[in-house]
Amino acid sequence: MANLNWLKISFVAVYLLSAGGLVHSYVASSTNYVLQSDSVNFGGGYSTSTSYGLQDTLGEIGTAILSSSTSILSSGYQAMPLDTYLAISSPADVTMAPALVGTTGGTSNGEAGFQVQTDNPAGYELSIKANTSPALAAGANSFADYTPSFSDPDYTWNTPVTESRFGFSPEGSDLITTFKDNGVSCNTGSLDTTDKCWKGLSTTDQVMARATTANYPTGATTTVKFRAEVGTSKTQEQGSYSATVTVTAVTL
Amino acid sequence: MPIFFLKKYFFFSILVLGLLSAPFFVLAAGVFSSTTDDGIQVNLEVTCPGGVCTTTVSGCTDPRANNYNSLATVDDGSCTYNPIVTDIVGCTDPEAINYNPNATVDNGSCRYNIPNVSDFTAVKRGSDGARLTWSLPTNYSRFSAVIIIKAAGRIPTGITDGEIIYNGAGTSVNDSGLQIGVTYYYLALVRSITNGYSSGAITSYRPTEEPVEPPVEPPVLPPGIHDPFSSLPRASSTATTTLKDYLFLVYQAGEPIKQFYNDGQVSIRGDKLMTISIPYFRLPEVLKTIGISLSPISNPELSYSFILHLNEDRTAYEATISPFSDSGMYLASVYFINYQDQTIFKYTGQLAVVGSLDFLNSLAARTAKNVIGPVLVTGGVAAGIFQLSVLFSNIASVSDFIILLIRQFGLLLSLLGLKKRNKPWGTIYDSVTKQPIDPAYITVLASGKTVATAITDIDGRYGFSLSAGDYNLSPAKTHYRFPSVILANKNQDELYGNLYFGETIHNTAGEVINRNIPLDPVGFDWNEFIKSKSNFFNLYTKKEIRRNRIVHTLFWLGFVLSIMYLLFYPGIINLVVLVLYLGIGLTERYWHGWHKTITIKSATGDPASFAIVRIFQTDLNQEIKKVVADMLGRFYLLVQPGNYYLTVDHKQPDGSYARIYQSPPTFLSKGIWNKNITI
Repeated sequence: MANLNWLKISFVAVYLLSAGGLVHSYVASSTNYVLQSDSVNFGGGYSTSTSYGLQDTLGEIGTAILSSSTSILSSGYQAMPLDTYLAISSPADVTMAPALVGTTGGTSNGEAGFQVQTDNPAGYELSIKANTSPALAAGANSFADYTPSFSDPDYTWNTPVTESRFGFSPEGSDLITTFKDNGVSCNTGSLDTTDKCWKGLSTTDQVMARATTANYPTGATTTVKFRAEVGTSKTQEQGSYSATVTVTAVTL
Repeated sequence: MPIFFLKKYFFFSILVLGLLSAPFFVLAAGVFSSTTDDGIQVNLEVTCPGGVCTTTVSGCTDPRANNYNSLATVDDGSCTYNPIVTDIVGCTDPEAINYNPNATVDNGSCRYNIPNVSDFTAVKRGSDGARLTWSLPTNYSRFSAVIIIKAAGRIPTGITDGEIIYNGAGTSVNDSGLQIGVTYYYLALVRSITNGYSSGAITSYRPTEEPVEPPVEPPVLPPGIHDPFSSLPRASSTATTTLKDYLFLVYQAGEPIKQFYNDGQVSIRGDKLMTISIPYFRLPEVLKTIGISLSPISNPELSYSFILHLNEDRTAYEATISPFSDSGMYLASVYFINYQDQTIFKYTGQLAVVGSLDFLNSLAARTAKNVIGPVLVTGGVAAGIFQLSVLFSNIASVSDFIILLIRQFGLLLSLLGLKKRNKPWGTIYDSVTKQPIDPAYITVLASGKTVATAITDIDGRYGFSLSAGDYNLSPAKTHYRFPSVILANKNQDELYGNLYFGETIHNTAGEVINRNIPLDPVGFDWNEFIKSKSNFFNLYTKKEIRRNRIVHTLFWLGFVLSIMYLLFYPGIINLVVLVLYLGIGLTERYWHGWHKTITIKSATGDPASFAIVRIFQTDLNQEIKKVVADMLGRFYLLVQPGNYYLTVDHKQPDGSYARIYQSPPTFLSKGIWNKNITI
């Protein structure tokens, strides 16, 4: 009889361990999903009234969110929905320099750094898009969104003399292969050569960077360089041109 | 009891709890996807001097001015103009005899010479009929019709002076119902599209009784027997003395005006219209008609006669005669017909006719038959062989062509089993473009003596199987240098390994020589090529199109001629030539069908010169084959049917290669990559 009991105990233990991972904070993953964390609880729930909200769990004590400069601890069943941390910095607006002379042409540059912090073990992805097409415009006048002329993206910035163009080039440690180069061309190699690999903005998200591990609290900065050029045979109308650019970070 | 309860149901309780908690667990373990974003503004100021962004270009903005500048936006007052030209009225048609090259406005005054028909003759047809034949004026674009007018016993002088027996564009007419013993005169007038008439050609016919007994020999007619004027009565002798003062002028386009005196001789061009003219004021008022008969001295039986009519200006009597069909000396007899007393004055001279159409035609025909035809047929075959050679190989010089012929002969011997074919092991290639060199000549030297030679195949490959010993290889190719300096001290490059630079090879028995040999192109600089790439491609493409056009024209011209030769001159040689043409044509067609060339180009149309194309088997992810595109980015790829993808490594300005393209997996049912690539 005692043996039968131990058998039962073993059965239940194996079931619980395999279903919930009771004894360790294992993060499971497959090709389709990632389990951030897990817990075995029962009872309780999230109650609200006009004056308060209550999260309670039966049979669980010591629930809280504890954070320090080096880590975040979310303990307890109700605290779990808050346990993925994702933050993106808010850089200042970019003023490209120098100002261009519409009749003689020239090149103007600017940049903004976007730091992403996440404790998400599966990492994050960083995208960029413009709110308008073409992106850089002043009323009815605009710069054409950069069109790669040789490969996509173009390793070297290129503007025909009869055109004006506006494009971007991301730089950072988490660049996707598209924006990496081998010193000669993009979309290959592992280098991040300065001021290389240019594309044009569009109104749909274009992924710039991706990481598959957490980086909290250090974070990772992706610097987006912007460039506008007026060809020597192009006359660009005078005006204050602006582009509204949205950079989005999403956990994986 | 409680203990029992615990013992009995404890595990069930835990199990139930576990099952109950499972849904919560699943909910709690769901994937949390967090998103955050940040928007920024990118600003750029564009200024223009004075706030105006239009580029100002000073110059002349008047399109009517001599110095009109289409780019000018501001007129700077610099316009200059030609002096005002007053319209000049006159005849603006270059074909007219009164064409005024300075006239700017046509006033409808154009007058044209209307040539007569030529070879106008009448011959017996039946017992009471005559058949009239003539030739239409050549190169006369204003021709409308020929009108034949008949008169009995007299010469008709115009369209209304007799019976019209023919009006059309033909060259013959039959006349019947003629009376025996009456001389009939026929006037042939050419009508122009503007209803003008030529002066008229004259012939005559006199039906005679049928001879009782046919003559044994054809009769030899005395000179001038067909001359319609010859039967007219001669004028009294007193009148002839004044004729010496008459002046005939002979006009021909592009030739100086010639004067024609009694008993004189004048030389004319037989391939041009000739207008004979006599100034009106030099003739007596009684004259009504002037006729001229031309008869070749070599054949006096022939005679062609024409009427000289007073022109519209009443300044001269004129007749325009079509080009002569035969060159040679012609007796010219001019008749002044005095209708007042029905007498005639005769005025004679000689015309020396050179460069007639018939002479040219016969010369051209003979030349075409004996010279041009065979040259074209042979040239066509040569063009076909050349085209095939270009397809199969790269010929850069005459020596290449000779080497190629030697190789073809070697292949023929191999096919016949008279020569052992070497297996190709090593490759001779261009150190800059990586293209295999075909054909190249390679010599194997042992102690300075030649022990073997070979010519590379279409892929630049060669092979030697030699006995044990020390050997040196000496490759040779026009416009190439060996050993390579560009790849010196390298054992391999992007495409080839085991490179050879002239060192001695220690060969053991049975070992094959499989060294790859780079040669440096002389006079080819990759950097310069890249800089002038666009211009070069334009020039090269035009040159290639021009060459292909010439070769194809020559080939097809020769092919058509070879068919004609076989039809008109059946024979073995002509049959062989035609079969040769068919063989070349079919080979070329077959080759193009199975040897489809693929082009790699950028979106802007620039070809990827000398790019390295590698093809991989999709399942194994293993490189199967690699080829190098030519300077126009073209290549040909043949593999076993299967699923493949290919990559393109583009040659960079610094000479290195970078991968710029990878195709999606593609199933090649025939093993041929047949899609152009845009990178």
